Amino acid sequence: MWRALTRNSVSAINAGTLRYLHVTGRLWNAQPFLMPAMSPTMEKGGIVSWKFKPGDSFKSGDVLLEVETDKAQIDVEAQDDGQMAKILVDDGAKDIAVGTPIAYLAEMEDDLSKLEYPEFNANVEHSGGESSPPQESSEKGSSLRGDAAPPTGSTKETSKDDTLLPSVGILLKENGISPTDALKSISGSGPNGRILKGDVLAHLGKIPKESVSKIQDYISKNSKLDLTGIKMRSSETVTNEGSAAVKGESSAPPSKTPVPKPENITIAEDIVITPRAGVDSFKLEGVVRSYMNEAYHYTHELPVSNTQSDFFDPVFEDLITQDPRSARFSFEYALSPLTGDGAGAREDIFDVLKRSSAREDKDPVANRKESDYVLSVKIVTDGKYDDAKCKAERFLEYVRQLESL
Amino acid sequence: MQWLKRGLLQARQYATRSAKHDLVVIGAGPAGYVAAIKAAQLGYNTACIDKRGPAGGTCLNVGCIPSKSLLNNSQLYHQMVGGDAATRGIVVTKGAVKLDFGKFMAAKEKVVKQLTGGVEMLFKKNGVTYYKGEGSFESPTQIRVKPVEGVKGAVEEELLLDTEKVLIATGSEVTPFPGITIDEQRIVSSTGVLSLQEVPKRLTIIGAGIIGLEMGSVYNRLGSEVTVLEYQPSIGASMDDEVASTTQKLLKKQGIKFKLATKVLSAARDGEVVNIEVEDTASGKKESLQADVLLVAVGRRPYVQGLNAEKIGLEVDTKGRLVIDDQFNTKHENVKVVGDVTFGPMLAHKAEEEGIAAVELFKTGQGHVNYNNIPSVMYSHPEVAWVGKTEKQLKEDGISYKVGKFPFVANSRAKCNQDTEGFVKILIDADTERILGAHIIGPNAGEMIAEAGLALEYGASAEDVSRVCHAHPTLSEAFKEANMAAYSKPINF
Repeated sequence: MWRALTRNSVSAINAGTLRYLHVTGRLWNAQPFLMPAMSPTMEKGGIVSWKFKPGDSFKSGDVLLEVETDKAQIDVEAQDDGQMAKILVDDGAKDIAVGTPIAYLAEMEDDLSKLEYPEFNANVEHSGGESSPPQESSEKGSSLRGDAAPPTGSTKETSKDDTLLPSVGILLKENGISPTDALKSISGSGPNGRILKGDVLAHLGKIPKESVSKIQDYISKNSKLDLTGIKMRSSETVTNEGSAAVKGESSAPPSKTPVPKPENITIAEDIVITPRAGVDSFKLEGVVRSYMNEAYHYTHELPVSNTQSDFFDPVFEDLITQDPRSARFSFEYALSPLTGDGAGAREDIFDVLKRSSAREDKDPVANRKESDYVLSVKIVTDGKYDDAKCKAERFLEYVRQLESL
Repeated sequence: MQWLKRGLLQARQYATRSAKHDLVVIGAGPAGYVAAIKAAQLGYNTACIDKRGPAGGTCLNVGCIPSKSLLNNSQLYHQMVGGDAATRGIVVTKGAVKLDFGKFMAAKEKVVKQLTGGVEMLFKKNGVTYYKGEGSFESPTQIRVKPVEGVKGAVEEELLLDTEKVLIATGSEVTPFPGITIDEQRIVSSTGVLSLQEVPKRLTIIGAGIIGLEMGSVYNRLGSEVTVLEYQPSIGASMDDEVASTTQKLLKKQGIKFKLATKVLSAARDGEVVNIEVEDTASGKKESLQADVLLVAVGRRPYVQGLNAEKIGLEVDTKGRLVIDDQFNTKHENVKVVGDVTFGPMLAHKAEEEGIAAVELFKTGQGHVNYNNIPSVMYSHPEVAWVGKTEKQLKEDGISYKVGKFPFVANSRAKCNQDTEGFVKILIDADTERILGAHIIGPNAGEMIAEAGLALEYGASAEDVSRVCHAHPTLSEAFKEANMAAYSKPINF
């Protein structure tokens, strides 16, 4: 049994070891020696030189060859005693993929002339030749780590790297199915295509096939976080920021909280804003937007009762307040330059775009400078809550302060 | 009112200290700290923010960890004074074993301190920047860290963190009971009950979930008269029904009183006692109770206070959870949410899994949590642990199943330990024999459930588990035998 002893080469060599264990042919097979991975990230490497010729025997710990990576040259040591049977890739070869067979090694006492050299193909499952059908083994033969990743996603395709579960191995033996045949003919319903006991039972016709698919579906459904039937908190509180603030376009999707009762109150008011010199409409809009949103949240958070009172207790307030986190009112607003045609109308992107040229020939409204803007605010309270009106009025009061901005 | 405007103007002019990170994790609980370390290991310049101060969140500070210290030590004490020692041939002279409640609590404090300190050390080791302060959103890519009063080591002034990615892991808080004011002295939450000044003579608990029953066990062992009130007709929240009723029976035998299907109408502190009004939900009969300490343990709710989630328009559902998709994404593609503050069971280990998965999703686009395989454990004595489906769920979902059960009274190790209460119950699919659920009530159930988790993860059938060699004599043999019972027959029962 041969292994190169280096820290990181184990993955490349193991496959060979594993295979060797399960070959039970009449003749000893030479053991393919694979290009070792000298670091977890190494994909390719070069062979600097072999330290043994075919026919030479070596001892455990001897340096078999020197391998070159993009970073360094590293000695690869033999893990066991043995002899070099055949060298496949000669000194100086570059860019050899990790896992490629580069030589054949044999046991010390093997007669090289009688050895079989099993063909090695990294991608195709190797059966070990006609002389050694791996019937006794429940494990699969050589397969390289790092080659074709086990199929994920489709659980119908049997993984070739599968280690059979104990129940499966026994059931197969009892029914005279070789593991090779099983892996070919039975589709696995387990994680990553693993063959489960149920799959074999269904294959043998002992249970209905639907049982397998039913339980597979059930389990895969349950393995995900259940995100069905999410009930959103009433839209306003949370979506307000994104929607109502967009360019004064009407956002307010009708409140999802059911029954907009008749006692909902609508308050509408126009506020004239005189921005300071140099404040253009974009800047003004930004200020107004954030101000209104801040005010919206602030009025929602501020308790209706007098917070200065000795009897005020925020925990109690929270407890007695009906749905403390639900929106009490929604608001829309439109900001438009104070012109005859613009007042009160909603502003859209075209208004903004045409404004600079249109401005020249505007007729100023009496007593107002032409740089003034009208902020039309419309507030709709939610009649379900007693404190909605009070909070809406407070909100309006804040908004009015924009007049003196 | 003027301050509001002033504040707005100031905020725009204020020059704040700032820093830049690839990923900012808000919350240093099991989800947050694990995610932050993982992220740092994957090469992100990572920051973690928490306003509690000591890292570790609810779990390490006022949850899983301190309660387990109290549970373990109270059990040792109880074994000495409860008459159990005598049956083992250990003579304890009456009055020889005493409880030093101060040291009992100090032992707990020590564990908490060591473990929370350990997390901060891990942050240092992995190069995670830890900010003690309140993290709040300025924008999806900017987090403001605010100083928190009274927190040792908190940031001294506000700072702004610019970040590419954000992971919200703000966790949960105790759900208040409408009309009951928690003062953490006489009327306590799960936090206050971990730091009582003395063993209460009478402890009444609202809620027969895991928290209520664990703390009920602790004080019952220390000598309190414990009464558990529960609105539902059964205890143990999401436990399998059969396991729940066995648990109730065993806890009752230990001296805990249960009042199920009982509605709490009011509770108020009156000097050094708490008066509680309850009503039987079936008969409508009212009753007044009195306790020295009342524990309110009716659950937990998502915690987003100060996060300013509405500023970036994060969606919230009716239960206050931040809404995500199956990759933990919010509406902003750079902001993910994990742990108690979003969907799924509120468990530390589930949160940890999600924290890692979310970071890996950020890094590679691949990450995985199997929600079918998240164990639950109650650390009472005997312990209760389960994973996968309950019988009730399988019935509801129309899955035909078989049950395998094995009692600990037939397990040799349990016999040796003189600790034979409980059983293992395995639920398998009737046809394929694939394991669907495992429910254990018994000694060391919390450790044993890991084997069930492994079996579930690999899609094992009951036979697969029973063909694995289990050491003798061990409690885990009961698990193997229950699997044998499920698909064939047990040997030792």
